[in-house]
Amino acid sequence: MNELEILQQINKIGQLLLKHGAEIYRVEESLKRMCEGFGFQDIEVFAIPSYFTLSLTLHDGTPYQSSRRSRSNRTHLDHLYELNCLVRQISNQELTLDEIKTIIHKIESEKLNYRLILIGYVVSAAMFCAFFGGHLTEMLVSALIGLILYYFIYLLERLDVNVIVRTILSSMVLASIAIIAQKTQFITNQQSVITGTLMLLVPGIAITNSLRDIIGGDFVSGLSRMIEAILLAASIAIGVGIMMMVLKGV
Amino acid sequence: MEGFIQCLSAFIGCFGFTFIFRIQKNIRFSLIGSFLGTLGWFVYLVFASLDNIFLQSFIAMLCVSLLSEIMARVFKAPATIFIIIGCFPLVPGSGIYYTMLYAVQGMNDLFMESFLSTLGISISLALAILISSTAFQVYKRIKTKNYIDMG
Repeated sequence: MNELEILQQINKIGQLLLKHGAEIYRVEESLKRMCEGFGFQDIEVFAIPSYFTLSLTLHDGTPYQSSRRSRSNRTHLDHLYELNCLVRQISNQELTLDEIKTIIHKIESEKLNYRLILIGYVVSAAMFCAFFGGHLTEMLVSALIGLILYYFIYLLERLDVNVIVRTILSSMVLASIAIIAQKTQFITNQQSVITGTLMLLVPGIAITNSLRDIIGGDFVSGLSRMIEAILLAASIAIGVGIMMMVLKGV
Repeated sequence: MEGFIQCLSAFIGCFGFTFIFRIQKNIRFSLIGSFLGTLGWFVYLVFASLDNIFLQSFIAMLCVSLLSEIMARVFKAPATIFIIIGCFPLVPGSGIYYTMLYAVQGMNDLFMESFLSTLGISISLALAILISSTAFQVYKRIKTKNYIDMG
């Protein structure tokens, strides 16, 4: 078996794990276990949310060192699950190199169904509006906001706009639509529309992962993700607040 | 009746969120995650007699995250999948809204009050996740007898 090729695949798995929203301890432990499975020595892994480095000693005694950067992180829970299974199989030595390559290629080349994501935006916006006490017209407006937000966020992501500015702009959009609908007497319960739709922007993953990182003892990563979560929550509030202030007198 | 509507909409809303977080093939995870979210809100409502939103949020999130950890063991999947979906109904979205509303209207007392309660709910949720995850970590160590050597 070609060691360097195996290590290349292992690095790729680590990068994908980071990209699709795994906790830091999971990335470190997965890499370590896979390398142990192949019998490498002196394995040291260090990871932070956008970067990891792996160093070890090959079977013939030469040192090996690699690092990967993963900038555009995007949660994809399906892939997280598949990668988790793949890591377990590799650590138990159940797969050959070719099989590993095929599975990784399959994960990487998989096409997303964007229509389902759009449906997700519309449905959860409408339903969380009902959750916060909205009636039929409010749900309708929320669904519309969900639809607009999906395309708005998609556009901003294509333009690679900073995530904080993106959140502020998106929350401004949702607040302005809700307030205008309220002012034109189309809806009566503006609160349910705004709270329901801002659920789409809440940084749930950042919060969960930061806590789980801190439990795992990775305070650097945990804190950086917690700051991310706090900043995003603040930007939601700022965006909504700005539009409330601007449209107050209209 | 209101509670029923809330639970139902929480279920469908969480199910919608699973698409946003890109669970498109493993629908069973979506269903379980949404069910846990609904259960969280149900527990929150059941303990309404406590009349303490922090305690209610804490207990509800504790149920959600403990069950998430159990489900993670059952399906051999990362527990994050279930916690991320399940925490949504408990996230203080209306807290953020009211905090901002009072800030804009210049009602400083109410602003401070809702700000602190939003913060308190978030901390309760965080504490619940911390406790349940730690409990399972300890359980795993005891079960596998993988104690840290204090040499």
